[in-house]
Amino acid sequence: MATKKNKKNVLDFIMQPQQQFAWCWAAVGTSCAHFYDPDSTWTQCKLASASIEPSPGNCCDNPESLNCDKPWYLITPNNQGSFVTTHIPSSFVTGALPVAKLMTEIDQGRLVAFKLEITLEHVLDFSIDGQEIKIPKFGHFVVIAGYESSTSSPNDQNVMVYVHDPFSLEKGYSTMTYEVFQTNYKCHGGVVADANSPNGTDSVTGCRVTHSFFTSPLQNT
Amino acid sequence: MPIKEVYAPLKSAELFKDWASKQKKGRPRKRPHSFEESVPHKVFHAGLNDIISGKGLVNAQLVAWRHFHTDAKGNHALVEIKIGEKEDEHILQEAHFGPMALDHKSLLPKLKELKKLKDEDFELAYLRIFALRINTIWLRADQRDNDFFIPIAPCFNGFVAGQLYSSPDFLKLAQGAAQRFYQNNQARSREDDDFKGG
Repeated sequence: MATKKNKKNVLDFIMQPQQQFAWCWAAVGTSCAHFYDPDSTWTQCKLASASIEPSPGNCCDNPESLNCDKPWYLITPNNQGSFVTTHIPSSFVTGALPVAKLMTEIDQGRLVAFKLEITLEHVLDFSIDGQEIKIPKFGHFVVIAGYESSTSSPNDQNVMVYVHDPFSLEKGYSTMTYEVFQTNYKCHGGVVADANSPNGTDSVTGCRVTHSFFTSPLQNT
Repeated sequence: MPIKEVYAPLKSAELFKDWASKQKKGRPRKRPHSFEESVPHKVFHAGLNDIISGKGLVNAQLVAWRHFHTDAKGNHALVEIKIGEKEDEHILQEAHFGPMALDHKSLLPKLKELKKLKDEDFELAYLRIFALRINTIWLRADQRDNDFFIPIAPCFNGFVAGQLYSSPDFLKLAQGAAQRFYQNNQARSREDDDFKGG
């Protein structure tokens, strides 16, 4: 039987709002760089300029160009992405971390980033200017920077996590159970984007964590 | 332009009260769960196809209720109670903290001063189109064509945070955003897809 044991650890982390439509990866990379090094000079547009391949040019001059404002990575097996560019030591695992591991990371002062993937039941299929468009899914990055547990047996259902999202809140955060975060973040069972569903609703089959990204303080360079 | 008073289902209100009772204690506010304090309002999600096809928001789906909360120490939050799959099922989804919560609430008295809104009563609601990175206050009139919107930062694709948009203007920009969404998601290699986000 679980006994009461309050435990809370919230890191002093501020997530920058993403400055362009597809720059969640740049906002996460820049915000994490500033967390580990308050003197960091990284900005989202500098990071986009330095990370995207092939080089998009100066994204501070033309941030809305399609070459700059595009989805990108935190880190990949080929070492691409905003964590690589900012020299944040990082690695990833598939799926969501076990809650105990997440708590350990935060206890050691380390942020954990996540990729959420929203999968559509029917491929989003429509036409713009006569061109057929098909989109099966899209991704989004957020960071967990804190947790709160009131039991000696923490699990996904009873641990509240502090989620910092570069899109949905300006300099704020959300709290929810780790279970909700992993399985239903901002989807509420399915209406982030519908498609050709016969009833016109609920065509999202998945809104789940696909990758967890470990980070740690910047290495001296 | 009075904002219509709408009341959340009892179960949603009870979950909100239960959440509030567990927050920081202090000198209790007089009526923390009154309409004026909590301003319960609906949260909708909308589908991209309807926006692209010009159907607008007629099929937007009610997914949650939100309640404002201010604790005795002046911390503000927006508490979202999800509507479950079973009839009358409500589930605590999440609580949002930060400047946005107070900004939302501060907006309400300002709405009464806007000339464009003087001719009709509106229901305060919230619209989230996650795929298009759109979060907006949705002022719902009796007819969808007469709705107004006030987007919340961060905004993209021509939307300006805090600006009032008529329904046609809002939907036109949303269609542009949908096009951008497509452009951002096309031509990705399958191998990279698993790691990419935006």
